[in-house]
Amino acid sequence: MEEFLTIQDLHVSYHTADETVYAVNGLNLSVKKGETLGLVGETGAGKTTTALSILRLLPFKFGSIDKGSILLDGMDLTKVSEKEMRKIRGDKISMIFQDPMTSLNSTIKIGKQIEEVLKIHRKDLGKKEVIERVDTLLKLVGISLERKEDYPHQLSGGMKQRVVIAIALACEPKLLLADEPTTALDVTIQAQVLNMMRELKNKLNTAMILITHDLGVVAENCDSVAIMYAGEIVESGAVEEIFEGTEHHPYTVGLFGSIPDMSKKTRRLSPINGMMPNPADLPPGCPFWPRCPKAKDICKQQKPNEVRQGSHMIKCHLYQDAKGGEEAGK
Amino acid sequence: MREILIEAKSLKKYFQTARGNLHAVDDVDLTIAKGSTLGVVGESGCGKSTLGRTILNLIPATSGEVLFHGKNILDPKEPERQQMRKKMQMIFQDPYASLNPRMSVSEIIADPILVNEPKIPRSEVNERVEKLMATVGLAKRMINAYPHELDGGRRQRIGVARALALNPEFIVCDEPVSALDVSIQAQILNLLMDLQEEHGYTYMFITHDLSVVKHISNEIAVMYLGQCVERAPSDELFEHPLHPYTKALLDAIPVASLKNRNKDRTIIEGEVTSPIDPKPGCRFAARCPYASGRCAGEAIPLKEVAPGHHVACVLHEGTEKEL
Repeated sequence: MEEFLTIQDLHVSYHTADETVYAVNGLNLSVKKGETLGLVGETGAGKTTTALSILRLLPFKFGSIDKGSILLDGMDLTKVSEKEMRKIRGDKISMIFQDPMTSLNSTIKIGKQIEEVLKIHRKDLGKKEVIERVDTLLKLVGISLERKEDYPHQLSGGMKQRVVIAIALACEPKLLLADEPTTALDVTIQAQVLNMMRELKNKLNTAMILITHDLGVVAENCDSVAIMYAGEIVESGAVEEIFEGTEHHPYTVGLFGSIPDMSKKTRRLSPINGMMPNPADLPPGCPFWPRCPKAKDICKQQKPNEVRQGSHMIKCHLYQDAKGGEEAGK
Repeated sequence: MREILIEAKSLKKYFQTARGNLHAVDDVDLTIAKGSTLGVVGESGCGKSTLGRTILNLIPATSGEVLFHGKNILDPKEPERQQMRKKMQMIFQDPYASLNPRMSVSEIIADPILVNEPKIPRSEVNERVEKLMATVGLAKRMINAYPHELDGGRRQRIGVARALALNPEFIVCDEPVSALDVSIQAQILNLLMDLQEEHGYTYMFITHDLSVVKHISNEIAVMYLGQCVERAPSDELFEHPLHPYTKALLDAIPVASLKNRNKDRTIIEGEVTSPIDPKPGCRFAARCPYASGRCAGEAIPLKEVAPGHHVACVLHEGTEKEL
């Protein structure tokens, strides 16, 4: 399958009056057509910033893309004009935001909110066709047509998220950015929504970046996984390599050690010590070394390179040495 | 059998709304043995937080009893009521909202001591605050910091220290880790379990996260719309869930393993119905795949179907044959 979205060496920073926050630092990422990529990381890892950079929705004046390229189907999104970009948003790329309670306009009926996208991006459609399309979309996401005239506050959280998904899918986008789409929902509703997203994605053959901190959601929905820490991808690969492989970045090991395993009886969890570094004041070398149980001297001075083995990538000095030796031997 | 520390008997909490009585907690019975943890799970709006607060008498119950060491703390005539309340504490969900932003760390932790034991000399209070900070893993240099200077994990440690300040016996933990990242969540869970082992605290652990509840609890109560629909020892509940809601809930949790990928799961349709003046009968019936005529009409009580395993469902009324 061909690469559909390729991000290379992306650097994003936010500027405030007294400091510069380095949110994304040299991120490389690629998504194939129809594939679901799980982007995993903790609060402040830069997941949402990455998604906002793809859509060029970084806060005006404060946020800026400093370096790198984002290629969508060969077109560099960092160089496209704002006018062009407005055509792409909601049409080729759309986004599902984290909180369905705040991402809908509370003063517009939900039917009208879905119509809006179509009116902007599908100017060739007549009035009747637009209404027909809205009805199909509502059926698709499992909302009865009587609710079309409802305002967002009349719907439950799960239904609001369904409306948001209907809006995102209205123009059959090629790429869907889902930023923690089910974090605000209850488990039984989360299962309903994820199931529906999976079916729709397969039907429309949309590529998706699923941003989440829930490794369970990743295991059940994604084809490939990228683990993000302090603005970098520290490990990525096919879902099998991350969940069943034996070689991992120490941060990935820590993440898996932090979730209680339902099948095993462990009395103590093995969490990662310490906290995420302040992105305005990142340590030199590998950003994870202050919390890493296996840190060596080299980790404190030098940034590790990406070591690839097939589709599996690890960015850690532990594997660098072994690989370096191997390559030297060849 | 261990000594029972907390017992709730047909505890009810109704809120009056313009549209009728909202049954937040409806006829809940529970017992917690000394030194053990009862996990309470359910989705948002099922009344788990209200249950926790009613048990601590933070909000007055509509009816029912809460016995602590065999004495009813809801009875205003109970002479030891004030003394007993000191022994019951709470850790709140949101470490961003539950700490006073204008008080420093030491003031927050000292507050319960100053209020309840005003005769203690200040130097001793300071000593106790320092000790508490060490217990929960807060560095001494943060003693004069304000909550906004600290991250979520450290703030929740302050919340834990404050709950421990009066040497309680019973602590209600209301979603203490759900606002935190997984790696920080694990640190707090480990802390709570270490403290229990050392000091023999009794916990009521309220959460919506089933993997967390399994990890920490000895016994689990599943709530749906104000009622307890199933109660069983932790392992028993996960191995043999009986109530259709419990089954659906367990089935809906995403597991971080590839084994269950593409597994057919029973996903329950629909959403939680209104808790305002619910009709008698099973409240889950509207979403239940096994619902029948027997589910409506009259209240379905919790029945013990196996030792320690209670369930409220017509499917499991005929005790032995079902198991």
